[in-house]
Amino acid sequence: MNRIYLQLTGAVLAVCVVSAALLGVSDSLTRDRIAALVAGYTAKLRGEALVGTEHGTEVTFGEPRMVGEFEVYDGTQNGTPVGSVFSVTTMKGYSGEIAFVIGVAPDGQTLTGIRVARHTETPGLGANAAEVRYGETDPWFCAQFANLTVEQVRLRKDDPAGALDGITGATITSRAIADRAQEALAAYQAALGTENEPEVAP
Amino acid sequence: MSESGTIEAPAAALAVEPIPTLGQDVARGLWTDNPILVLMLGLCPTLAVTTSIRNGFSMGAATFGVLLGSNVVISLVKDFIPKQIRIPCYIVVIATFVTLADQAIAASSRELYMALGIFIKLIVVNCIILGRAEAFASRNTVWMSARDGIVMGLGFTCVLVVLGGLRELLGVGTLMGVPVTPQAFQPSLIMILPAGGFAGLALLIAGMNAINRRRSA
Repeated sequence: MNRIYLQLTGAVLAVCVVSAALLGVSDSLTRDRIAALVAGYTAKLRGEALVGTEHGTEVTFGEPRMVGEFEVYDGTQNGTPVGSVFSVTTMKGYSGEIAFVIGVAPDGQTLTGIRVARHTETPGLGANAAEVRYGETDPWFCAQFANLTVEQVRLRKDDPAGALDGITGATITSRAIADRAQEALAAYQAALGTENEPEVAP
Repeated sequence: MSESGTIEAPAAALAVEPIPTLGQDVARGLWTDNPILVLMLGLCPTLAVTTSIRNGFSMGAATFGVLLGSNVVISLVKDFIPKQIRIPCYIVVIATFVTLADQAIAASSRELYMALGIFIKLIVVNCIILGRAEAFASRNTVWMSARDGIVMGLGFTCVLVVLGGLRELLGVGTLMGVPVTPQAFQPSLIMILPAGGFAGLALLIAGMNAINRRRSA
């Protein structure tokens, strides 16, 4: 009677060991490639957040610098600085984490746009945050953030000063992105302010 | 194999079922044994992703690949897995396969992965995969199991596309992202919410039953 349990356990163990081995091999083969693709995609998004999808690839970036808590990349297009980008995440999305890239104009006062880098929102609803409408080139929800000052980075329904339209049927997703963008821009401006303040003489 | 309780069964039990032609198999997967409308398997992902034709097709394509692969693999190893623990073993095989597919797609194209990524992980709990593994792949040859995977995957994808099209058209007013309804038409958002999924699916099943009834009348 005991022998059969040993056999069955052994069989399940064997299946699991083979599976684990296969997955280990697959992971080691693909890990670097996946990381490279993710990095390349994020770099592409940075350009798009500054100048839009059409000209996104024309923007070049140098080494990042720290502004407050953010790792900031400065973008240059054809020799002229077009702004700075940094990545933020919010956990207040409908289905969890949303990671997006924020582009700030060179004067530090307005946004140039955002791009959604990573999310697990519902397809057809929250996922429309990255949706490009038929006939357009930029995702409409992200393109709304262009030329907004920090007070305007809120949903219209949440704040009379807000200038953002939410995604139909996906208020939570829209609000998560808008609020986080406003918070991040305010923090960025505050960090810039302290950077530029002359040191107080003792 | 199920045991017959009666003694006069032996002749029937020994009779070999005629092997269906490829055409009959396709008709089986698309209509008579359609995994969603007839077998009622995989309803969760069906309701969740049919918010547009593109999403429905993406899920269908991803499931098709996994179904084909897992049917083949399970048919290959069926003789090595003891009957009593076949279900957990099948699940491990399927989950491994899905993870491998997920990594393969992630390593090939970021755009493709962004489009399909959410769906791939959902396939592990898609009852169609385990259902076909248990009902078919564990008892048939590799070739027949592959064919079963193909026709079931086709049937699944077709229903996803039709239901996705229905919900997208009525809920957003577009097809494949292209606006096709006149200005006067007000899309009803509920069609792309879960309630609309249930309603749309019910309409499809009722429609299929009506057609079948008319045919046999």
